Amino acid sequence: MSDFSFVSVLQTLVAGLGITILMTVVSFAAGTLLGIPLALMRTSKLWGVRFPAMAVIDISRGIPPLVWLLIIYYGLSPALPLEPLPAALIGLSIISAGYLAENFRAGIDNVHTGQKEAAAALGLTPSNQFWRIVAPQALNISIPPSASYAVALLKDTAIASIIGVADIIFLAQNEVSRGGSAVFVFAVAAVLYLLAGIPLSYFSRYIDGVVRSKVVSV
Amino acid sequence: MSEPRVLLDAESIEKSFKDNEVLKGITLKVHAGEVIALIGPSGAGKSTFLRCLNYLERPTGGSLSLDGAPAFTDPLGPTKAELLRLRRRVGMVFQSFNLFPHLSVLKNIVLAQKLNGLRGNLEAEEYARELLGQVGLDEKAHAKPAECSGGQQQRIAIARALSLDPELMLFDEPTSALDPEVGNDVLNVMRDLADRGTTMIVVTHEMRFAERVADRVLFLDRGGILEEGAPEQVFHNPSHERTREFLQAVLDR
Ligand SMILES: Nc1ncnc2c1ncn2[C@@H]1O[C@H](COP(=O)(O)OP(=O)(O)O)[C@@H](O)[C@H]1O
Ligand SMILES: [Mg+2]
Repeated sequence: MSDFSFVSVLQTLVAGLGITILMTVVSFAAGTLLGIPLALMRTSKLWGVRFPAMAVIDISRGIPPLVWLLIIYYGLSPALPLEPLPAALIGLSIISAGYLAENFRAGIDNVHTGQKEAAAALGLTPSNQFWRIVAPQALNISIPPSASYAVALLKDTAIASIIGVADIIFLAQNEVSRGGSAVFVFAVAAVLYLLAGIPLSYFSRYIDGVVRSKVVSV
Repeated sequence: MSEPRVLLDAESIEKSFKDNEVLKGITLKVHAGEVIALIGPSGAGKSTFLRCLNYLERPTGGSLSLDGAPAFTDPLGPTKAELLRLRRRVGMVFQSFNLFPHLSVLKNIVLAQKLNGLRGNLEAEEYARELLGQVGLDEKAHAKPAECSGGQQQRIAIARALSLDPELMLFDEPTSALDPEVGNDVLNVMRDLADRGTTMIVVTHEMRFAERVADRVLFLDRGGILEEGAPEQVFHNPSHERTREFLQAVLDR
């Protein structure tokens, strides 16, 4: 006999929480690693460097996340058979890279032009102007929106269940197909997402406050 | 007595933005130790001229010499090394301070000394503290710029520019963003510099300061120097109607 008590459903779904968090953390980290160079290319003066970065960013953000995952999982499989989890990680990383690159680019653009000029007037080389003066401020500016994005990403990982990643939603669907009440089971899933998101939201608000008090440029 | 040496020799500096001719060939010789006040209506090209002197703006014509030697082999195509050298020798203070908000006050003043290989860490910090003392802000060494008032920030910006021991200091309306009382602290620091023999070019609307501190006043109008002379002459006996109108307008504010 199946047991669909709160505790039992919770225990089943918690098994997927780790996968959900793993997908969030890995794709956010990979998105940052890819997003920074993309943002640098995107702000280049050279069209030949800027354009490919723009294209990659726009494509990664322009295609619905679900479609990305379906393409990578089903589309690439004849050539490159992938397990659901790696496929999801690749897709979510590509999407994160696009969003985070745009955050970093906006950070770079929002550093006051006077900063670079002051650095230039002090005889700093263009590379020092960027790395010592512009980049740290750009990073500060881009942290709050990126922290918000992490919260959005946590929720977006739910689509990975469609290609069979055993995350919270995948396990919830199993429970429902085994006869659990859909409303009840998904409500428990919702609670899990909320709980996982609380530290992230709290952290992103905290970072926002720190950055605001730190970078009050005139 | 020999004539004091010419420190800066700007020869027919021209600057156009697309087809907007902003500077129409400005020639200016500045002697070592001289204080020049640059006055003129908004949009006359004062900032642009100042920015051409350290190549933040690249002139479209003319040439610069510093201490008798041309700053560039080809003034229209400066090399990176020439640019850096010029900027290390010419300090600039901006209307909006432009301190680096992510660095402490001390690091603001230390950074360029170190990156330019002028001084090591300890020496640079020591010198930064000395300069902070000179502008009356020893106690702010570890503050962030955002924790300092506008007037303090501008004095820190002056200390930062001085940290490279520039031969020439450029000031672009250093007090225009400040309340008058606070502005006076900044003007006092500048007067102090002038008394120590610093060569400076100051764009300003502070006519009293210009009259007291400047050796020479230039009136810039529509991209050219319309009138220049000793402060008494330019302020009290201007030879052009435009100068008179401008001074009247400033007085009426
Ligand atoms: N970066 C720029 N691009 C285009 N036009 C500029 C730029 N900087 C200044 N100008 C123009 O040059 C003229 C002189 O400006 P500026 O030197 O700032 O005058 P001032 O400092 O005397 O008020 C103005 O008409 C201004 O619009
Ligand atoms: Mg100006």
